[in-house]
Amino acid sequence: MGLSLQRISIQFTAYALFFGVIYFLSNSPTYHYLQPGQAEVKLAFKHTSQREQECHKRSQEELMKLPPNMRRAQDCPRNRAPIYIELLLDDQFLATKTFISPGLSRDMATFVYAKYSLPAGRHKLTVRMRDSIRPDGFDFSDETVRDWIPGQSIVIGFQKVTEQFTFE
Amino acid sequence: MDAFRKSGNALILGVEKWFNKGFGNHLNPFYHLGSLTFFFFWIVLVSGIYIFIFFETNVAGAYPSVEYMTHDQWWMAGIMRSLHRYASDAAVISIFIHMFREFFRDRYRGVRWFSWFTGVPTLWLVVVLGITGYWLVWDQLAQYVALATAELVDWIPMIPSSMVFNFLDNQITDRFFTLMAFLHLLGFPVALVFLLWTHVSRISQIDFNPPKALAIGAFSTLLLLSLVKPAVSHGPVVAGHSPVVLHLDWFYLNIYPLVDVLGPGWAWSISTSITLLLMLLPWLPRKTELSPAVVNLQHCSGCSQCSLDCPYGAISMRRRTDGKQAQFEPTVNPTLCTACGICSGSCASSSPFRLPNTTLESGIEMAWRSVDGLRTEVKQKLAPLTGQNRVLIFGCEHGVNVNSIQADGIAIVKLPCSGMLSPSMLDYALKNGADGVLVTGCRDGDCYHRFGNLWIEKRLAGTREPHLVKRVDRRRVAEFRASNSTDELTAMHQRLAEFRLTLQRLA
Repeated sequence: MGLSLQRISIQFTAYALFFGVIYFLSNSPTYHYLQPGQAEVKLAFKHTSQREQECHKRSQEELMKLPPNMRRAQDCPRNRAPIYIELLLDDQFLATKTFISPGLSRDMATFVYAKYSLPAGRHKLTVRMRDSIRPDGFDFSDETVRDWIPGQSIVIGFQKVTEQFTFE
Repeated sequence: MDAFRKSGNALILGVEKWFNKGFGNHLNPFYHLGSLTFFFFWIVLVSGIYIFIFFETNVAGAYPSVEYMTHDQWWMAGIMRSLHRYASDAAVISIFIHMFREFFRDRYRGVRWFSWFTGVPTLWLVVVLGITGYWLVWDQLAQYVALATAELVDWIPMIPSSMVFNFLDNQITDRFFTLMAFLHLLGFPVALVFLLWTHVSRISQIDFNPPKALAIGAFSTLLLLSLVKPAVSHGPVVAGHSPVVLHLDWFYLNIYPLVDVLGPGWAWSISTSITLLLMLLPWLPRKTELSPAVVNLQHCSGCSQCSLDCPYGAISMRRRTDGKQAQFEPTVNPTLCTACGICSGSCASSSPFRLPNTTLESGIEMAWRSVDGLRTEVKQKLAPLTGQNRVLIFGCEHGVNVNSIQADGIAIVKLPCSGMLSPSMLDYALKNGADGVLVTGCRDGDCYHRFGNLWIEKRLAGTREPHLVKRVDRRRVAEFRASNSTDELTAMHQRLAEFRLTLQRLA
């Protein structure tokens, strides 16, 4: 088969298509992870919430009912309370999220991780956390006022020792 | 499913027809998708080795070293980097077209399930390999990819720790980075080679290299692309900042926007569902294969031709068990046999001139389409033909639809593959009333059973056993190859008319 015009045109079109598809899809269309003028806040910390039930001291009668190798004075149910977190931006709800303790008995430390976008500018950000079975109110709370620049990312952590939130 | 497959096949055949016009059948890229993918992997490997020379495998040094390659040594390392990226993208294109094509051509079910089934995890591994490559640049895109990947991994309930914490505020360590480099440079490539080997292990005589002209064309296009649009990095990672605008490589990183929009749970659900569906496709519904080839040892000379011709490696030779002088005998693996019948055509004992008065048995044949049955059918079909220019058509079931050909002096014998035809059967037909024999096959370069077209062509040309004997007038033998697309019927009728005209002149 000679190099006819038809043959050349089809080959050119095929290679141009191959070129074009890779040219375009290798980095287009652009993806906006954050919309223009947006910043980001991430919740990221590890926390062990309080037990769902308090430990209680077993009576002699209760102890005797147990096999000898299981007679521990303290009875501590393993389940931990869910961690409920609220984020407020300028006293308005930004987000709420509940984290359940992992593990078969829901007794392990929880990795709290979530991310939210917020408009850049000067804002008051409040974070509140409930890690016990109390029906309302919060066990921990903190707030920060700062200027967010577009694209900025703040990570909210929680210090186990001081029991305080950190904004980094 | 059948209707969907058929309409998809019609579409593919339509596109390929144009490519045949432009490239010629033997250079049509659709017929070399597997070898083209291997070729792209070669480019990725060679370019990858080169850029590794300059790459720093630590958090602080990775980005500057890639920037050095891209800008300071753009004329070599920069081009190599671009080739590395674009050849990887090209591989995804060829893999996807290959996958769709095999599905629409119905070459993924039955005995062929294995190649399809193992191809799906191979695709996953290619994507993971690509993702880790983007990770190593350690720019803002890498930061985004790392964090989103960690979110995906953390979603898996069985993993007790959190991976995402490694990537917040640049807490990533050199050790973790080195692990990623190891996986991208050695771990995943070795796994990919193993999976690719598994993927092709059930087919024989694999052509790993595309035709030279096609390889040059594809490479030149990628090189031109590397010069016109060199691959560049995003900005460096800035602590306390998230990437805003990302130029994603959609061939590899398409899952991440899904993670952002729907969450990692949905991203996993969607991708896992698609993967499982793809892997289970060969059984939705299952294809019932015809019974595999059977060996009749008393007629087998142990010549090995059937084993050499089998496109699926289903026939192997072993030590003779019947005490005959021949050294070997063929044995058929039923899990590999697609019942194409090519082995029957390759057997010298399939000659219809043997045992004329008794049941003819060949050394290897299909029980449901025996050589004896074929001989009987040829004789029966030729008997009522009258007049001049009587033509017997041996029609391949996957090629042009010969059923629609109805004319005086024409008889049709259908075969699962033209490669099933022993050349002596043509001689037999000519001796039993046919003025000419026309053999149809799939489109040139696109045989449904891989080598059927090629083997019959070589047998007729006398370059592959068993040969068509020299006394047969070659002008009375014709071949025609086309797909079962309806628009190729006209060409078939034209070819038949020309052939009959030739026969008329010979008369």
